[in-house]
Amino acid sequence: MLCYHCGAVLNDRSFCPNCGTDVSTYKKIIYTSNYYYNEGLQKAQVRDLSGAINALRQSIRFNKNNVEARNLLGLVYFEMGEAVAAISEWVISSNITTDDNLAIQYLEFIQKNQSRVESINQTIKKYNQALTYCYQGSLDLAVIQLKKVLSMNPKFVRAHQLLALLYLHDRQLTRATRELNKCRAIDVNNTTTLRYLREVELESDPETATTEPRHEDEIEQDGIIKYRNGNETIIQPAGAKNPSLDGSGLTGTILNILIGALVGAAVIGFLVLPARVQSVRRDSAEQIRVISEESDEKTSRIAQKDREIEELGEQIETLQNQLTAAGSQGPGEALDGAAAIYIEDPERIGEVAEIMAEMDPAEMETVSSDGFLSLYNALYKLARPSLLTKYYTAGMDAYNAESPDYAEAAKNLSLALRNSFSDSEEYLPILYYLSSSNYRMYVNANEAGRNELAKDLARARYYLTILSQQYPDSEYASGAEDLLDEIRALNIDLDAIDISSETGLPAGESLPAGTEAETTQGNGEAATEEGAAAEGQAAEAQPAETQAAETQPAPAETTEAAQGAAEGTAN
Amino acid sequence: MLNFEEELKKYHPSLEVEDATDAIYNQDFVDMADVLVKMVRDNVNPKSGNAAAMPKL
Repeated sequence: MLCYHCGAVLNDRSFCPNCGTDVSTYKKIIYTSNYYYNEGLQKAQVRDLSGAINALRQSIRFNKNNVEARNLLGLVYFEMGEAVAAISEWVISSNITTDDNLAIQYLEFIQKNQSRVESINQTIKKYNQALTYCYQGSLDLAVIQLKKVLSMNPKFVRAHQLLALLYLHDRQLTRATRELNKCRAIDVNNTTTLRYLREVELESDPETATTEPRHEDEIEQDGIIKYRNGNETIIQPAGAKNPSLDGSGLTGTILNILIGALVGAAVIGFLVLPARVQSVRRDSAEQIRVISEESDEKTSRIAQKDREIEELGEQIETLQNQLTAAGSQGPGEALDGAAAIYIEDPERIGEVAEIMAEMDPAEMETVSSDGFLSLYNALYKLARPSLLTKYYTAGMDAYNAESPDYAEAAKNLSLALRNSFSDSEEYLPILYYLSSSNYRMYVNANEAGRNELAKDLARARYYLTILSQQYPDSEYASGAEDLLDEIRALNIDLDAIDISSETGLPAGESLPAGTEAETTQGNGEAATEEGAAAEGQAAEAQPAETQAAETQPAPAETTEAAQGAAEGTAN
Repeated sequence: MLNFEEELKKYHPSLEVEDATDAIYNQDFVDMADVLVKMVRDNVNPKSGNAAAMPKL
């Protein structure tokens, strides 16, 4: 310590050893400065930077040449982000003394890191810009700018505090708390920080926030309230009531509930209900489809049952008819009746023939009894001549009538031919007149009728050929030749008509070989030779047929004979 | 409740690096020691000084 008067080094005494000046008060001032320095140092050691600044500033106010206090004050400033203030203190300190002065080291460190200085300068400029935004009311821009500042210099306490103040103003308490906590990490006992934290606590405590905070710049005039909220100017009627604070809270709540119910109903009506209706319709359509399918299936079953019922009805009707026929007069009874008539009086063979003519040949096929067939064949053998006579007489009467009925004549003569024998007396006249009847029917018929009668004409030519070839000496041979010439003159292709299966001849007669030869070759001489050969065959076949007729006939022959009798009955 | 506007007034622009020189020169360097020295000199030679010349605290 030096004497302020002469600059001599002072000792423990209250007077200067060189000039004798009283330095007791001066020493107290220096000691006070040192005291504050010590206090500042202690506070800086516990990161009470604000308290350290106050103490160090007091120390410098007592002794401006307290280099340690200036250096520490600069260091605290630098820690708090106040780089320019720190540099100022260090510059002043370095001007006081250069001997063992830490300020010189600090300044050298900064001068070596120009980029660091530039970064600090940019940080300060941005902070000042953010502060300008705050003054202008652009708080959002200020927040953005402050965030940039803190990203560059996280220890800038004033920037943290300003950002926390903006958050508090915007009621973002969490963010404000976060910023203030960062401040406390740098400066634990900063008055501003603590005051802001207290404010955050008050805002966070609902019990303390019992009244609506009013805006500081709120102006009420002419029935309106006008205030600023950030960048916005809010204007609302002065009479507007806060439903949560005034007496209309319950009414407002009920009104809100009603509005909510209406909105819910509208949502259900416009969104939920149509979907539900569509779902129900879809289900109904599916049910209808299932029911329709079941109905169709049942309808099909009913139709099938109806068909079965109809078929069963037909079967019942058929069975009933058979039963009725069997009950009235079956073939067995008719045959029994005919047999009874013949046994009683053999001369009444004509009546037997009538009964047998009425018997249905189809019924004969259903009867498989050997006794029945034997009885039938025996009676038919007895009745056959009577049937021949009957049909021959009727046919000739129709043919020889004043107005010949060739159709009737042809029918009866056909039946007579069926029941005749080749050695019967009526056999040749039947062949001739039947052929003549068929020919005249054909000639007298129109175009359509001729088509239907073509087979009869072919059959007539067949009969005439038999007469011409097998019986050349008979009285009918020449007439047969004449008719054949007339048939040939018609220029009809009768060879295309197959009558081999229905010649109409009695059982045992066959197609003459000469007929085929004539139709194929068209040579009369050859046909005559072939016909002579066929005559021999027919002569040989005739006894066989006669023998077959006289003995037990085969069922097929029996049926054919029965058909002939039945056709006669129908006519 | 904080008054934002009033609180905002407590914030001042920071000195930029270019302003550091001015800040140093404008700093008040009068301390208690200077006041004491001045008072002592005034007591020794009252005519040589006056109150107006006394440095501002």
